[in-house]
Amino acid sequence: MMVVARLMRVLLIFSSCLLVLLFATVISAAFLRYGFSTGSVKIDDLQHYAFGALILFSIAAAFWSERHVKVEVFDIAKNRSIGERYRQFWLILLVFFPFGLLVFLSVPDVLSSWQSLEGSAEPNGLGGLFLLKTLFPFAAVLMVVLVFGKMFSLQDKSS
Amino acid sequence: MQAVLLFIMVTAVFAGIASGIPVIFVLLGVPILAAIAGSLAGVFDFSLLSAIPPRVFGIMGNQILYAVPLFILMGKLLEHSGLAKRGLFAFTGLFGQSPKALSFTVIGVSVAIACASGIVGATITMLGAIALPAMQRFQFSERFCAGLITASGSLGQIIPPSIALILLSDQISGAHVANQLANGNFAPDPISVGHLFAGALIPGLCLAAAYAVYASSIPGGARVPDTPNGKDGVPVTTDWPGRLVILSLFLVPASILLGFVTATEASAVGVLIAGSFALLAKPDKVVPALKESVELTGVIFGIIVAASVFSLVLRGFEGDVWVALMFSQLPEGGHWALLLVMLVVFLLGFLLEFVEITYVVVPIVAPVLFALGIDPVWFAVLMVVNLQISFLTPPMGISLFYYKSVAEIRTIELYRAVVPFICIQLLLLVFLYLFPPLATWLPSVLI
Repeated sequence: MMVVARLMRVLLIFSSCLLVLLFATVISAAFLRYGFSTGSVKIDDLQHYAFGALILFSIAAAFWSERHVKVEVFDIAKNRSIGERYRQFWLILLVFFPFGLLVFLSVPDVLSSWQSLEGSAEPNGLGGLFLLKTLFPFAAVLMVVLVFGKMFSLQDKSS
Repeated sequence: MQAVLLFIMVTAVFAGIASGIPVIFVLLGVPILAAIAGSLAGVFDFSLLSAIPPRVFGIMGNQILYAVPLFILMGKLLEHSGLAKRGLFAFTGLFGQSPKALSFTVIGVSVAIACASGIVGATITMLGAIALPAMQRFQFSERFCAGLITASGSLGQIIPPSIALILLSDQISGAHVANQLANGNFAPDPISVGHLFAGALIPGLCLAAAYAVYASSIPGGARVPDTPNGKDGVPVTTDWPGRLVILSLFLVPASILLGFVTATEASAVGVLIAGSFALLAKPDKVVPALKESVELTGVIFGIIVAASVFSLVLRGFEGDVWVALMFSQLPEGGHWALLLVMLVVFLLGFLLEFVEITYVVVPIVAPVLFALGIDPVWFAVLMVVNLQISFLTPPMGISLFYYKSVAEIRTIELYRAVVPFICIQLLLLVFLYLFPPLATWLPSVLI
């Protein structure tokens, strides 16, 4: 539990750095475009990589800090024991299971990307697109780990 | 069997959302379970699910969406550093020191903050913390205060640079291009974020003006003696940095509308301005602003990814065919179909937020509507006005929650408070439907 919490703190800091990187690359590209009437495919690719990694990790960060949008027309959590059991039920059925399946589903794409050491589609672009694609199953595994973290924290609370 | 599973899936999605499960997991998990059940029953091609990773990679590389986290960061930097609050203080009293002037100030400041940040939560909580006490001192009714602040604070969703418009443009442009190609136009004019920003500007300002007209018709509000520091009336300051920040951030939507920069570039410039002021004013608040921006980005993109899975499975169950079939039963032309879509979106707004509706409904209905001859910009602006209503409609109007977090008011009283403003929004929707140039004229002139 402590390990997961520490991991998520690091991930949040890393994601914040990605957001700063996204800003820096967009502003640099704009500076090059308007200041020198030129551009850099590498900077464009870096924007893509920073943005892609950011959205994958930010979904996990929002899950860990319980920021994802809830509606609660029927407030099942009001009844504590039923609420906790219901929470465990959907954590397994709607988070653990689907994200586990997403890991499985992404393997062929990621493997073929690794086989060709896929890089940017643009000439003179950055390499390493396969690393970005690998973050997809990594983020899905992270969600599965977070489900366990959440379940343990539920058990801690109830005991 | 396919129709039964489709019905069960859609019902389960609504039931799951209403039971308090985070929307992202309902939109992602329920369709995957339905797809597995469908594949076991032989009515769903399981290999369709292998399209999920490429779809997510597509979202990760979608350049239109780069602007979303940057606009969020800009808003959070303004909020955390207290600059938005200073800007708000600096603008209060702009219309004078009477009760009615205070109402106009609330609306005017909301428009300014909407241009600057576009984050509804930040605007409403700030207005609740600053303008509400002043309005209470002027003895405005609790109901009027709640209605005016929640409605004005939600203007950020329609006035550029609105995140809702950026997300809508992502969906609309794809459907528009596909429709043009299907009609034999192999060099279609794309629909950009700038088109939608320009299209939504006049309706957004009309909405603000309509709120002002309504506010001026409300009797009541006692005059409070003015003091130089505004303690007993409207807080007045001559905080030039505050005014400067807000004024400089007007450049962000203006530069996009005039076609000088793209939305993504403008968002980065916005972050540069807000970040520079934040670093000077409260450097310790920059890191919390970054962290909150990351989490909020996760909230929005989680729903985008999940809704993409939902629409994929819906198509797998031929839900899009059902929708097209339903529209084909309507009288000739696209207007009945459009009215039906607007009604469905309005009803969905009671339960869902703009991101869910944009990414679940638009990909299904937009291609059909465009094929029936509906103008994409007009449709997008109608959608964004309609989605704006969802911010106020009980029980799930997100603006209501934000207001409750800063003001003590009975829930039922809050629900009653927003009714006149929902009526104004509906009226604008009707006007927009009857007079499409309200949305289509400015883009045709500017872009």
